[in-house]
Amino acid sequence: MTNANVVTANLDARATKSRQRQRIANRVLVYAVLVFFAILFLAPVYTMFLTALKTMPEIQQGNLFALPQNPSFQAFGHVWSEACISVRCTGLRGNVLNSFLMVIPAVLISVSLGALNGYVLTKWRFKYDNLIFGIILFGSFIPFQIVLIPMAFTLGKLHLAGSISGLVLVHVVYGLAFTTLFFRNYFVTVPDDIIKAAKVDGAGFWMTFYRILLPISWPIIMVAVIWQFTGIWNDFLFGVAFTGGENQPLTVALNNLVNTTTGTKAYNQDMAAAMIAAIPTLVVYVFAGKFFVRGLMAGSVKG
Amino acid sequence: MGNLAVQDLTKSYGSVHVLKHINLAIDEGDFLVLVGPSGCGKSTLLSIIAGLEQQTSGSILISGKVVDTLEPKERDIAMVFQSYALYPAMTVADNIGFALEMSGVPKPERLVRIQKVAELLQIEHLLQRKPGQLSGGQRQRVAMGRALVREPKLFLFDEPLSNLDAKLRVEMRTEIKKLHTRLQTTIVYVTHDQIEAMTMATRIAVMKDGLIQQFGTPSDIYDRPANTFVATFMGSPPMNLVPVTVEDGQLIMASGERLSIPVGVNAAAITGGKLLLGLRPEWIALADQGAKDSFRMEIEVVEPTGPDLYVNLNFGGQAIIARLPAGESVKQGEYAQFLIDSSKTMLFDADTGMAL
Repeated sequence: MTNANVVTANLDARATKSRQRQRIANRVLVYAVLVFFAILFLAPVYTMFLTALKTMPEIQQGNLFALPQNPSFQAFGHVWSEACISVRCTGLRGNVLNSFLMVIPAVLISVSLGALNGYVLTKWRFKYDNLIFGIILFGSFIPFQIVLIPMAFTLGKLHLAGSISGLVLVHVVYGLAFTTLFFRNYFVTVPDDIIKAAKVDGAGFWMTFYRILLPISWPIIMVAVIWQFTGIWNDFLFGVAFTGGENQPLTVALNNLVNTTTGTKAYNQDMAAAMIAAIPTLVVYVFAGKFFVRGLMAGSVKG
Repeated sequence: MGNLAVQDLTKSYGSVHVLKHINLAIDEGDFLVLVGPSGCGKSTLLSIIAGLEQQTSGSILISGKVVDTLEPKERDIAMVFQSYALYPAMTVADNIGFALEMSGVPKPERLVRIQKVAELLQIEHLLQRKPGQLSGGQRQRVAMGRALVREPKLFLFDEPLSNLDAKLRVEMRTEIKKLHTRLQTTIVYVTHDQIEAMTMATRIAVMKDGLIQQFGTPSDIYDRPANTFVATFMGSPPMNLVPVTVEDGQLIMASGERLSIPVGVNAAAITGGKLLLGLRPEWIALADQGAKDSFRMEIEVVEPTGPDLYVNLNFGGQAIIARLPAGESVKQGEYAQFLIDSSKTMLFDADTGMAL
C-alpha cells in the first residue's frame, strides 16, 4: 500500500465514524422531540383521569399532577347512573345509549351511501357527473351553523323534530359530502379495466361493487368510519339544536351535567363524565388508527 | 367458436369521427390482428365488438347473430386487457372462475374447468395466490386463463403483451400462437406492434385515422401493401419509396437512372405523373457488373444485426436501406453494384399514395 492510500483509508474511516455519530445525534433529537410532544398532549388526559379518581377534598388541595391517595371509581358510578342533568337525576347512561343509537346508523348509512356515490361517480360515468361531484364536494365546505334553520324546518316537515332519527338524518346528509369525497378519490385510482373485465365476465352493478371493489376498499372504509364516528359522536351543535329532553346525545348531556351545579363544582364527576364521553372515539382510534393513516396515504404510493 | 362480421360501423364522439365505415369479416378459427399507430381507432373497435362501448351506426355479428343491443356478457366473448385487470382481492383460482360463477356454473364443474385451464397455461402452482404476488408474465397467464376458461365464441385481446419485457413478449407471442393453433379459436387481437401482427395473424387489418387501410393475409399486407402508409408501417426497416416518373416504358429517376416497370404492374395503366417505386430492403441484392436493373450505389452506413446487415445506400441521391445476409463483403464508404428485383417491386401514385 502506498502512503497516499493509507492516508485516504484513514480519512475514510474517520468520515464513517463521524457520519455514524451524526446519525445517532439525529436519532436522539428526533426521539426527544417526539417524547416532549407526547407528554404535552398526554398531560390533559393524565390529569383528567387522575382527577376523576380523586375525592373532592383531595382535588381542593390543588395538586393537579399528584397521584390520588385513595383512588376510587365512585365518581364514574355517580355520573353513570345518578348524576342530575338539568332536572332528571338518572345519570348519563341514557344519553350514552342515545349517542350509540345515533352514531351507529348514521355512520353505517353515510359510509355505505358515500361508497356507492364514489363508485357511480368514477365507474359508471354519466353526463354532468363531474358537476354533480363538484356540488357534493361543495357540501363539505358549508359550516354547521348555516344549515341549522333550513334543517330544523325540514325535520319539522318530516315530523322528525326532536328525535334521534332526525339527528341520524342530519348527520347522514352532512356526512355524505365527506364520505363521497373519500370514496370517489379512492375509486378513481382503481383501473377502469378491472370494471370492464367484470362487465365482460358477467358481473352487474351490485356484483361488481360487492365482489370486486369492496374487498379492496377497506383502508378507505376505515378512514370514512373513523372520520364519521368521531365527527358524529363528538358533535354538539346538531345535538343541542335538534334534540331535547331524554333524546339528547352524550355531548349535550355532558354540557348540561357540567353546568348543573348545586353548591361546589364536582370536578371529579365532570372529569369522569368527560372520560366516558371520550372512550368510544379512543377505542375506535386504537383499533382502527393504523388503517386510518394507511388509508389517507392510499393511492399516493403504488402497492 | 364463431365467425365475426363488422358491417359499416361508425363511431363518433360529437364531431370527432373515430371510426369511419368499418367493414370486416373473419371466419371461424381466424386470428385477426388490428394494427395501427396510436389513435387509429383499433382499441375503440375492439371495445365496440366487446360491447363495452356503443357504436354510432352499423352492426356487429357474432356467429351470424346481430349483437348490437346485447350486453358484453350476452355476446359470448372473453377479453384480455393490456393491464391484465385481475381482481386484486381474489385468488388466481377465483379470478379464473369468476365468469363461470357469474353465469351460474356449479362449483364442482367450475373447479374442474379451472384446473384444466391452469394445466394448459402451467399455472397450477399459482392457483391459491393473489394477483399481487405474481410477476408480470404470470399475471398475463392468469388473464389468459380467465378468458380461456369460458370457451367463448370469440376472444378479444387488447395489446396483451405490451406491458411485458422484450424477452417475455416473444415467448408469450409464440405461446398465444400455439394456443390458437391447438384450440382453433377465433381471435381479435389489437396491437401497435407490426411484428406481433405479422407473426400471429391469419388476417391483418391495418388501420389509420379510423379507416381500414388494408385488410388481408400477412403476406398480402407485406408483399402487396395497398398504399404507402401500409408499405411503410408494416416491416422494419420500412419499405423504401423512391420517386420516379415514366418515360418510354421505363421508370426514370430524377438523377437519370432507368429501371424496369415492376412485373406486377400493367404498363398500359400508367398514365404518367409522379410515382413512387416501392422496394422492400430484402428485394435489393448485390449483383455483378452490368446485370439488368443493377446500379452502382455508395454504401453510406453498414449496421450488422447478427443474421442480417442493414446497409444504407445512396441510390441516385435517394437514401435507401437494403437488407443483406450477414457475411456479404460490403464496406462503409465504398461503392458496389446492387440489383433491384423488378418481379417484386411495386409502384404507388405519389399524390394519392395508392398502389398501382
